[in-house]
Amino acid sequence: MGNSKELVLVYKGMPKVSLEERFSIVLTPQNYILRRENLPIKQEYQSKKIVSSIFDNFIEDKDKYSFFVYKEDEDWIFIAYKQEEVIELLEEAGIPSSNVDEIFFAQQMVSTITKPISLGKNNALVVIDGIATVVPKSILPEDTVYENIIEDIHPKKSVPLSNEHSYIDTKTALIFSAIFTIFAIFFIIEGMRYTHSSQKASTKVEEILQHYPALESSYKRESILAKYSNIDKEQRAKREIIKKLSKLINQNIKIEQFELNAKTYSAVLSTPNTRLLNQIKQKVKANGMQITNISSNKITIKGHL
Amino acid sequence: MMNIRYKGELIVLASIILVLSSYIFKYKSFESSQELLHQKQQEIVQLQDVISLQKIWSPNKISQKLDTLKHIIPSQQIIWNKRGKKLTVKFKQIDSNQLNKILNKILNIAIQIEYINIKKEQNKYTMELKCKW
Repeated sequence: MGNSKELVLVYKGMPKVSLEERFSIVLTPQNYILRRENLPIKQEYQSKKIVSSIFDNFIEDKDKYSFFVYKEDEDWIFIAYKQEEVIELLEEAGIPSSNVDEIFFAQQMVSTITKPISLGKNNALVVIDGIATVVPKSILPEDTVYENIIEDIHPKKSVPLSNEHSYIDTKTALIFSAIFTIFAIFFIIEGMRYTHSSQKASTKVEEILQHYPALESSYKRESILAKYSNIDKEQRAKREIIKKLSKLINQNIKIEQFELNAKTYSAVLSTPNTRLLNQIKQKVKANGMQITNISSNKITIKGHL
Repeated sequence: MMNIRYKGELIVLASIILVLSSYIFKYKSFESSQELLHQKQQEIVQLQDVISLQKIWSPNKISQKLDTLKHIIPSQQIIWNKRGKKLTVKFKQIDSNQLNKILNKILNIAIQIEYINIKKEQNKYTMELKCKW
């Protein structure tokens, strides 16, 4: 809890302090109201719930106060203080509040205060019945020896000085942070899903290659594909020509001649009924083939594959 | 508790950095996975094409399947010359039904037709076929 930080006791009318390093402050009862209560409460969060009501009839404008609770022996110590007052006090002492890390209360140090601590010319901090109290020096014996605050002993608990440099309070920041974190989780999950989907495709390729190890080389695959694609294209074209011609042939239309090679084809169709020639012509054209010659009862078809 | 300056802003900034980093991770994963996915999908399509084309045009037992052509017409009407994976065959004096049967048969066998010549002489046909597999 920042135990290495210097402790500065702050009080009204304190001399100007020049400190460059960050430090912690100890407030005197001049700046806080304290109540000690023996309550059947075990947990700190329960005491925090009732802290406001503890100061009913003691303070007005509770909204302006901050509260601090801790357990001292069997009692609960409730402290109310005004952050604004603390900041004003620090400004008066020439201390930049931005350099203050933690706030402690003199009450937290009662066990270490064995002698009065001087608070300027007129006042002193003493412990009366276990309560840190500010008293006028005039009521203390003249030969009173004052001690300084023990800087090495830092109480366990502290409160931060109001974060006046933040435009976003911690609660709002945490809400934003939670929302952004949820988005971040979604993005990470989505990103992992994308990675997984591409891995799935890689696995499928590997599975195929396990069955066909000869196709592992992409050059070999391309060469096989090129070879068989040409064969496939050429052979499908040849079969298509034969099928088209077969459709044209019936009892009245006969094939006289047909030749098919690597690049071209030709066919001669004949009919005993010359009136059917027009019908054959239409069918040939409908099948996308070209007529090169028509004689009395014959039609010659030629074409390229 | 430490009194950190701009604590709220720092928390929000850290979470913004987190969300931006995770968005960049998602975007980069998307880009690289799409690229890889596209590449792998192309590879799969290519492999499937190669495998199916190989299966179509390099099947087994072509030779036996071609031998069934001999049963369609009497052997004296056939001149059969098969060497390795090449066949030259001439069917003589076949009628139109036999011609149809032969054509249907060869169209359904995955052979590479190189040459076909059909000639009608009177009412009979002569058919010459050169093919390989």
